[in-house]
Amino acid sequence: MSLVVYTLANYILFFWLFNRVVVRESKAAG
Amino acid sequence: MIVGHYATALVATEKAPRAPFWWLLLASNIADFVMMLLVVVGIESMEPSSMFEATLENLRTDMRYTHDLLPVMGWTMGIGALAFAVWRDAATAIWSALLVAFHEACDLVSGFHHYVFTPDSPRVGLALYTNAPELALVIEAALGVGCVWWFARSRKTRGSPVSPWGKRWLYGLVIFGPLAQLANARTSMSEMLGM
Repeated sequence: MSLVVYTLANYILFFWLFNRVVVRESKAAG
Repeated sequence: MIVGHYATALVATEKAPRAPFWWLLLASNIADFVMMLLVVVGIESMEPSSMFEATLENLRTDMRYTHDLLPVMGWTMGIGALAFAVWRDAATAIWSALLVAFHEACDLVSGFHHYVFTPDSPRVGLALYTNAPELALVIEAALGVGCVWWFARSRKTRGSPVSPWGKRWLYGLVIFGPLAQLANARTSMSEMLGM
């Protein structure tokens, strides 16, 4: 079970990072 | 593959600009999110189940409802239909569906082996995670770099270039993500930690 939790945590982390960068870039571009 | 799949959403967001980026990210990895849910409830499996024992090479999976070819066709159409029902935008629907299909295509090259549907059917995919995990991770990084490069070029072409900060982060993510897994490709955490 720990593998699923660890894997999900990685997916959520990278989801958040990608979203943060692209949304910030889009806002900056107007 | 985690960030490689997410990186494909960078292409989709340029082709379907009305789609929320979070949705495209979700569509790019919906197969894996559902797979994790199905593993938790015991319908699919990843063995060994301990994060300390698992490596890319020794991981054995049963993802018949989320990654076998026939179900993926259903997921592809379903996600496309759902996107159209919510946003009423053809580009959003098409690119949402394409992200699901491309997830499978990437996994067939750089992931675990899958089947047409259930282990009784023909096996498909190169199974590089099992056979050559380092190569699989390098392919993932290359896919990510390609997607970021294309995204940056597209933004520049339409007059809203990605900032140096954004490029550093995006290239960093798509390179760091796969390469950070290299240590765990054939060696488990318990071996690394001497447990």
